[in-house]
Amino acid sequence: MLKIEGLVKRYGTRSVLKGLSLQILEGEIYGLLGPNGAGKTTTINILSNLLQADAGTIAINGYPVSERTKPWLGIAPQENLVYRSLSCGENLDFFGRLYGLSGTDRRRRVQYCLDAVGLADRRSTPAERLSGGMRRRLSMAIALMHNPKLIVLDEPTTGLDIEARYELWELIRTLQRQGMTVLLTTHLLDEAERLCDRIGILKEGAILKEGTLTELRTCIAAKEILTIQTADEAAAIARAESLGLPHRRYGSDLAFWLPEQWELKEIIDRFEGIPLDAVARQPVRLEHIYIELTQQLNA
Amino acid sequence: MITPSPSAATSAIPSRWSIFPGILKDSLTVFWGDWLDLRVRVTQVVASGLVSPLIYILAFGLGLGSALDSAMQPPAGDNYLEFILPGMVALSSMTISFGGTTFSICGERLYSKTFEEILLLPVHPLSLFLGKMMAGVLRGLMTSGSVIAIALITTGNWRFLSPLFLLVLILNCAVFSGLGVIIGLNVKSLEGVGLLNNFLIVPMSFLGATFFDPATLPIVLKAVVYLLPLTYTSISLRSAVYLPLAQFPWYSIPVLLLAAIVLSVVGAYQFSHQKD
Repeated sequence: MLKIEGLVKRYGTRSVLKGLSLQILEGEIYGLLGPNGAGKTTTINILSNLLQADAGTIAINGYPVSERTKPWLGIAPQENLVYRSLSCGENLDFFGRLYGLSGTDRRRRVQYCLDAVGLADRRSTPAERLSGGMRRRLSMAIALMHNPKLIVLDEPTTGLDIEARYELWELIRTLQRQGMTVLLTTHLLDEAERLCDRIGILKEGAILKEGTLTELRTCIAAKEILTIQTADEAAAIARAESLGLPHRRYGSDLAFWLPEQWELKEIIDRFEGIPLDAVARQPVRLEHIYIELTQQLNA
Repeated sequence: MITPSPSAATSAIPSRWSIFPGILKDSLTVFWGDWLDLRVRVTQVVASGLVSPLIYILAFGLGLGSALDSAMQPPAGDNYLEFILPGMVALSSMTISFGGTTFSICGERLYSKTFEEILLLPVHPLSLFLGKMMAGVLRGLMTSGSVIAIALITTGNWRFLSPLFLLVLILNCAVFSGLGVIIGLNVKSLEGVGLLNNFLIVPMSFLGATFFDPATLPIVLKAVVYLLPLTYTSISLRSAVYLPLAQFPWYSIPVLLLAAIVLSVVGAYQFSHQKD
């Protein structure tokens, strides 16, 4: 559905994209992860033909990106791009007209999109009277209005409360079930973990690693992550080293990579003599992979 | 929550983008969108553009005019107030067509960011320009309509509604809203708009033959005054109201039309290269 090859973009002497390549298959949700400034929004702007790349190609459905591929693409940018004084129905109707939808199709599509994002009962409400979450949903409905083949969601849940976030996640899953291809950019790792079929980790303008969550987990030689709280961290690290457990810091947390699942009793036995205040086991999460990969690059 | 999706709107590469009727239709849609946004602020738009002309009518037309009327006969109209009324219509239409359009585009670009959404649409750049220009024309007509109403009340001259008068007025609105679109696309902040307003629109308000007859000016100053599009509007509106058709400056219409076309070409180019 989407193929990006060797994308390069410079702003003056600063390179934002350094040969970015990725491919998104039809019907999948692809998560593009990266810290702020990694090049996510620049990629989207080139994809939507708002920016020209200095080198490289982007093809949607086999066609190079141009004015004429715009109808295949729906974009919900970071800001809620809605006309605040227009009602939800008017916003959708306006964009439907500009996408060339005729009367009956347009009316049906407006109703469909309002239903899809759960705003059918707000059809006549001006966008300025909607909550932040509702405005975000309206912005997504606008992106869906012309029934694009590929929808790009640029950090769709940033700033939303947890309930609104769950609703949007459900909507994204529904779009996928209906056959839509989704490119999701986010820096919320749990969001990518929950939603994405494949994930690309972007750092400094290039993909560091790409794959399914299972494939990405192979980057870390651990089955589980053990986090402990102790007054004697040096002793805990020394013990872990003697057991052959690599240690990491995740924020202020001290963690060890476990090569296999250990029972609680086994953990306590192996750290005997060290004052343990708390012990927690968790599966390898995307955040661990992300930190590992990005720190490798920094090193 | 989810219902079956209607058929895809677009499954093949569209061709309507390059078709002229499509451009016109899309222009009207862009205009319609701006109208929906504008309709809740109609009173505000009309009132904001009325202030300056009303002050000028009071200060120059009634204040200064009463002294001038005892000393001289104006070249058009029975008194100085009547003389400046068409200029006030030109002035108000210029101010609001330009200012309203510039601020609207700046707001969409710099604050609400809805402009970015517009740039994502598969709409011809000329449609975007024309739609925005038409919205500016509407703004200008709404405000100048109030000044025309004042003129009708004070003079009782129905030629303020003649087709020729309205044609020139629309062309004037088109020129200045077109200019407003281009400025709106280029400025980096609202302060930039204020700066351009002070250096471009305010001087033109006074030099654009709104308060005087340019025919009596020295040749050098006359050359400067005739470089300003507002001059052509002022003299044409004045002629349309007070002078016989034979004395109408017909050259003004192609001049204003040409200015509008040139601005449209420049504006469409700007839209096609706009990267926000």
